[in-house]
Amino acid sequence: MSAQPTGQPAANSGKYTTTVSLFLIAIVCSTVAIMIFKVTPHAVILSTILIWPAFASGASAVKDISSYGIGTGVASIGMLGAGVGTISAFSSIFIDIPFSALIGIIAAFVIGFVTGLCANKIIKMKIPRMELKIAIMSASAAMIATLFVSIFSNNIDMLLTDVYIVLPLIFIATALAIIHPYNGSMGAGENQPRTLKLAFAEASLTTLLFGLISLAYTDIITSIEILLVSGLGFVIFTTIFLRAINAEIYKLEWSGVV
Amino acid sequence: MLISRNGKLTSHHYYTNRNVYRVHAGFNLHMEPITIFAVALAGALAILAGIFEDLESDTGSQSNPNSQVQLAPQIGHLHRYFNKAISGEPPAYGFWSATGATVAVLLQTRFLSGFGEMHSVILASIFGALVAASILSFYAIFAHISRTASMRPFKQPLQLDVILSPLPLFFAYGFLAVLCITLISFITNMVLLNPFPVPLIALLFGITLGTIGSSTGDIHYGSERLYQTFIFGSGIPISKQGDIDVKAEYGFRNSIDTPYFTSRFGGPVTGLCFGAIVFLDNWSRLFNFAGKWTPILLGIIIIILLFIINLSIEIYTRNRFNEFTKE
Repeated sequence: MSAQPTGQPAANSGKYTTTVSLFLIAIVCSTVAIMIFKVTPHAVILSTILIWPAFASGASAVKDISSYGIGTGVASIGMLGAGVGTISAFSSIFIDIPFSALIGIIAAFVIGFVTGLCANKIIKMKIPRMELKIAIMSASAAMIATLFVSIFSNNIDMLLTDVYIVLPLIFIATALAIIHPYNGSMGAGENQPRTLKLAFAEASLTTLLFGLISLAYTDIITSIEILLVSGLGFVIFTTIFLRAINAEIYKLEWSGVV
Repeated sequence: MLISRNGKLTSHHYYTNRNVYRVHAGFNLHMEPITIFAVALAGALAILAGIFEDLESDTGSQSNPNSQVQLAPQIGHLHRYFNKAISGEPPAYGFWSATGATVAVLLQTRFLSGFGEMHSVILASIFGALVAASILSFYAIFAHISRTASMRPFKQPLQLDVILSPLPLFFAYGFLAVLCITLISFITNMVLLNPFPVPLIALLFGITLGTIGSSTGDIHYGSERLYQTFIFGSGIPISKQGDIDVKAEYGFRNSIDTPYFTSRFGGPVTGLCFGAIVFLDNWSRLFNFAGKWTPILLGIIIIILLFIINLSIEIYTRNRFNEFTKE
């Protein structure tokens, strides 16, 4: 009954990048992004570009954990990471010291590590290096949430409580953008380069949504900058992703008998 | 509700004028016509939201049936179903609902002066649902093409009409489901005086609705429609997994015929479940016999009543159709 894999092996569309090196890139880029936004809010165009690696780092961590056969747990593990990250990032804006944004990211990393330790030692899930991967996922979600909470709460006239309204969306949109690249590409021919291309496409889609939301919070120039760069990024990354699909698909046709 | 002041958002109305828990103890009914109307309207909208949610997820074989559609090529069944893998229904519907409600809340403050309170809510909800349905479509298309590309070793082709035919259908169903959820959230916040902001209520309602669609509605697609060659109720053992029906009465099964089937029973029963939850939950706004403990006591009473009803139905069924038998 069961058919053996008989098709051609998938064309390799890029090199494998380890999650830790992606995370190191992401943490440098995100720190620079948050710093740039704190110094000059009108350079938000750079901040938006520099936050995209954080999505890729989170998606790669989800892939590493879930490829040990979690399956339906993909969503649960992503919710856990995004929840830890978003809450840490939101709490950090109440701390009124320099570099408070970094404290939120470090807190997310530590809490994520402890959560992974509990899952591996107490529940005995026995997934190799799960602690580090959950910590990376939480820290990546915290970077994204920190930047957008900073953008939304930057307006002096705005009460801090107004950011409460948009927090549920930041949490769930970040979670979906982190878990969906692997979840949407799962299968025998899944490979990391294509998953990361999808992660970048969905990252720019998410920042496009946040740019739309920011029309109500920030001045019009900031919003238009986020919308423009995210829209351009979405077009570019989707084109790259579709090219990868075109190279890897078994057969592309308009219609036909299967 | 939010009000607009010099073009800036303020939300102090969220945190003031919130006398949710009636201070006067003693049994009295809050039967103002507007509250009764709001409870009934929220229940009716919840039934519609449940129907549309289940049909939307069935159009693209999301959630539980998705595993079967995903496995089919591996055991030799090439198919023409839409493979919409969006991280499980509860998080996905939480996302669409939170998106719709957040956009709607922010737009409603802009529309308030021009259109009045009621019309601004409806108009803003429509725009919010449009944004949410657009994002849903992007995620769905990405999932289908990427999962089909991962099926390369099993020779599953990517056919563009499989993407383009169900796309308007699940866009429309998703739009209607998110619109209903957003309107329920506005009613819960503005009329029934729930203290939480609208997007948070929508997130919670979205996750609830996704869970119900996944548990109640998917049975009628995943274990019935996809497995029509097997006896209904026999379950899906490991040996049958992925062995789905790929051929229809004529031609191939596709994702447009599925809602035609599930709208008979799967959709309405999802709507009934979600509608009952929202409707019965809102009864705590009508009664007051124990102060702030009223919703909790009322919830316990409703759970006990539902337990008794379920038990009596099961006893009746066993007496009528005999005990469960082994094959």
